[in-house]
This record gives sequence, C-alpha cells and structure tokens, in this order.
Amino acid sequence: MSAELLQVNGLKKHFPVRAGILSSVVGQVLAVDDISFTIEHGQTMGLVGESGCGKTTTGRCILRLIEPTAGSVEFEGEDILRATPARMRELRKEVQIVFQDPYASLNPRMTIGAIVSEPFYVHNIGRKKERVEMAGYWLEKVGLGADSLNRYPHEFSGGQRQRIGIARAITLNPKLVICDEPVSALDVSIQAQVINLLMDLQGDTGMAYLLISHDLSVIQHMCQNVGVMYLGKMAEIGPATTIYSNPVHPYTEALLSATPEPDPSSKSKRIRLKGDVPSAIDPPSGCVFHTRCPISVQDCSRVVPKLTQRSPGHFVACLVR
Amino acid sequence: MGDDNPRTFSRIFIERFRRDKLAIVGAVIVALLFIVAVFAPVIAPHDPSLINTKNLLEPPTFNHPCGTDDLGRDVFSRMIFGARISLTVGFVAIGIATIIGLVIGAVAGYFGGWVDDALMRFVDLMLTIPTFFLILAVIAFLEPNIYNIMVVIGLTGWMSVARLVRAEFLALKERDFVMAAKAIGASDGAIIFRHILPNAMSPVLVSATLGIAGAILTESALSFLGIGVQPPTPSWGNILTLGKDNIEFAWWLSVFPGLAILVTVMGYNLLGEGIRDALDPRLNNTL
Repeated sequence: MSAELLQVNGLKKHFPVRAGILSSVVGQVLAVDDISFTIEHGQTMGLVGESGCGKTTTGRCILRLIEPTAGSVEFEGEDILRATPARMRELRKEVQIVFQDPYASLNPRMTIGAIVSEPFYVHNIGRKKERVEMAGYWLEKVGLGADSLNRYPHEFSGGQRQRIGIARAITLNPKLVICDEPVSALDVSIQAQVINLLMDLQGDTGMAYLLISHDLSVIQHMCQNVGVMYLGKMAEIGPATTIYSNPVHPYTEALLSATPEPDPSSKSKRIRLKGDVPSAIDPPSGCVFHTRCPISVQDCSRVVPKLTQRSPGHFVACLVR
Repeated sequence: MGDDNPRTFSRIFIERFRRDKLAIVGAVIVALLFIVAVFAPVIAPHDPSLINTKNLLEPPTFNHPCGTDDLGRDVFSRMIFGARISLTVGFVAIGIATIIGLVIGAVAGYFGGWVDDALMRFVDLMLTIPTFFLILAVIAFLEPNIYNIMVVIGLTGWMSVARLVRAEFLALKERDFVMAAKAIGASDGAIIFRHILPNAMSPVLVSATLGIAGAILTESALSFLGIGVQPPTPSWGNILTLGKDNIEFAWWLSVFPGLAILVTVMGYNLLGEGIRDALDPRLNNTL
C-alpha cells in the first residue's frame, strides 16, 4: 500500500462536441487535460481556478460520476477507474462528495432522516432503528438537532442544508471527501461556520479533503497543498505556503493579486488579465494561458510548457519563469 | 412526515388548490361521479334493464326524470349505471397508458443513448397512426367489449406520457441530488424509483387526469358507433345511439347522456388544470 491516499495521474476528460443532423463529432471540449496530483491521508488538497477550468469535472471524474477519457485514479494503490461495479460500490463508502448548491443537492421529496440514512440502506448497514439513530448522531455532529430527522429540505436555510449534505457524505466514515465549492453558494457569515465544521470533522475523523474552490482565502485557510488550474490544465501545484508566499506562474500571481485584502491601506499591485477565458473547444496553441499572459514571449504560442519542479514538491508549467 | 409538519408538499398543494374555484368545481363533479358509480344500485330509481312495453319513449316525468327509451327502460337509471362504465374505462385505460408511458419514458430518459433513440422513434411511429382509426380497426377484429376497449385505449394513449416522463428524467438525472445518490452507490433502480420518479410525478398526474376525459370521450364515441360497450349493458355512448335513431320524437335520449358526457369531461379537465396550476413551480415561491 502506498503512502498516498489518492493519486491522480494524467486524468483527461474530453467531451465530444456534436453538430448536424447526424450528430457527428466536430470537436472536443478538453474539460480536463492531463491533470495529476496526490492527496495524503488526513490532508487537504485544494484545486483553484476560474469557472469552467475543469475543477468540478476533475472532482466528478474521481468519483466516476463522469467517466474520464484517460488517466488513472489510484485510491490506496487501487485504480478506481478499473474497478468492477461491485468493487466500485465498496469504494464509494471510502470516497464521498459535498456539492456546491445545497438547494439542488437534497432530494426535495425525502425527509432529512431518509437523506442522511440513505447510505446505510444502499450498503445494507444496520437495522432500521440503528440507521435512524446513526442519522441522528451525524446530524448532531454537523450541528443540527435530531428533531430535523422528519423534516423536509425546504424547511432549512442554505447553511443548514449544506450541513445536511456534509452529514450525508460522512455517515459512512469515508477516507476522502471531495468538497466541490462547499461554501461558495452560502452567505459570507455562514461560510466561516461551514469551513470550521469541515475542519473540525477532519480533526475528529482524520479524513482527507479535495477542496475545489475559486476562493483563494478559503483554500489558504484549509489546504496543505494547492493546484492551480487553467483551461483544464494544471498551471502550478505545490505546498500552499510556497504558492501563497512565492507564486511562480503568472496566472497564480494574477489570481492571488485579485484576492480582496481586509486592510484598505495595503497597496498591493493588482495584476489585471486581459479578456476572457478562451473556449475550451478550441484552446490556444502552446501554453493555453499565453493569450492573456502579461509576460508571454513568442515561444509561448508554440511550445506546450511542462510541469517542472522549482522547489521540493512545487511544480510550475511556464516557459518564461 | 407527520401532521406536525405544516409545510410539506401536499399541504402547500392543497392550500393552492383550494384557492382555485374552478378546480374545486371539477373535483366536486369527479367526486359526485364516483359516488354515483359506486352506489349505482342504491341511487338508481329503477332497474336499468327492466323493459316496460307500456311506457315506450315516454318524455321526462317525475317517475322517469330523463324519460324512457324505445324499450320502456328508465334512462336516468341507465345513465347512472353508465357512469360505472365511463369511470372504469377512464381509469383502467389511462392506468394502462400511464404505466406503459412511465416505464418507457423512464428507461429512455435515464439510460439515454441508443436506448433513448430507439424508444423515442417508436413513440414517433406510434404518433403517426391516427389513434381513433387504429382503435376502430383493432376493435373490428376483436370482440367489442369493455375490456378490449380499455386495453386498446390504453395501448394507444401512452406516448404523450412517455414523452413527458422522458423530459422530466432528462432534467432530473443531472441534478445534484441524483449525483449524490450515485456517489453513495445507489443502484439504477433505487435512483429511478427513490429519487427521480417521485419528482417527476406531477406532470404525469396532470396528464392522467386530462387523459381520463379523453378516454371517456373515446369510449362514448365507440359505443355510439356500436363497436363499444354492447347493449343491453348501458353506456352513455350507446344510449346516445338510441337517441340518434329516435331523434325526431325523443330528444331526451340524446340530450341527457350528451350532457352527462359534457359535464364529466369538463369535470376531469377542470380538475386536471387545477392540479397543474397548483403544482406549477413558476408560481411556487414557497418552496
């Protein structure tokens, strides 16, 4: 058994673009293009990037909610992508997911008790009474009263619903939880509560997180390692402390400079990127970032940069720096 | 789940339904028809098949509120028993259609791909056939009885349900709560029946209610043409046939069963539209 809990290698997801009456494939959306990273036991890995950069697709590929095109996802040394359906069911106890939109992630026709105890039904764990008790236990663990068991999702606020979603994800004691923008749909005041809840739960159970977010301060607060994604590719990956104190890739630099500072007197220089994120159907040649890069040189449009190690564990894909 | 919960779906639905006066009218009509059909032997003043040759084609009187037919039978009593036929045909035929439509629509919408393509082309094919003539042709080969009619109406009426259900499934299967169920490891069956179907039932319910009205009309038309429910079993359609034969001297044989069909179909339509409006998510600010 390897030391890593999860090892993602060369993960790719290409969505075919179909057009015409015969639905012939006219192109590919490179939603995730050659992404690799590892997560260690009990640690938090962050994935950050703009909307549409492939963070969510990466998360869903790991759970096989979307079948990846290529690559491997090794969970404790076992390739999830090659698991049989029966083995996959077992693996699903170990890897769970918390969704972004707490309004869409709970079945409106099911009671909270039914939602949180569903994993027990699916995996045939415990008797009916025990399942209800366990659901109540986890609901209390996430800060909701046991009286919520018989109520329906629409009776709860966004923050409460997100707690319910978290409870559902952790009832089976997973080793890894993929948190797909777990707080970005919530009020700022609620965000902190949910983040603290996630961190407390990690302290109690020792599970690892893959935190997908566009909020750099959330990532910095929670993660030991960070991967910065741009147009389906990894731009920079490494320990959070290194990346936040010493970003190398110009895209990381621009992202970090865009983080709002709580101190109005601080005069950090803002790097403004020109234009929008290019289409993933027809990504720029060479380095995908060269169309918006402030420091691009001629080679950038021709040569695809490889991730190279700059300091221990810190990899950057940039030709210039 | 219990009554201590004031804002369940059903509560909100009932509240909104009650504010809709036309829907209430429809519901009352349908409820009355149910009572009439179930208690027909108690309510009917005469035996519906009792022939009285002294009273042929008697106009409406106190004793025979809707007159008598060409065999002296009480039209009012025959219509009361005819309500049983209409109700049974409506429910069973639409029950068959809804079940077939649910299965085909669910499979097509959930699994997608070539399964979806194949099933939906089959639906298109079925829709190109003029249903009423297909029913006429099929009934011409089979014995024209109420069971065959129900089955044939059911087998030719499921396509719109299948399309509705497929559309709901296509939308719902991408929702996060379905993804969450997949992530937990729930089987396809559990996802379809526990997660998607309960959320897809509203439009099906509406379409079924409206469909019952159509099925009742179809049965009446078939009976009117003489290939539906066969005399002496009374049905609104075959009373109308008698009315057609005697239209010059017995208006009551046409008017009363005609009114019964009109009111019944209207009742189901009002009820169906009321349910649809009460379930409409666009008006649904409370959820």
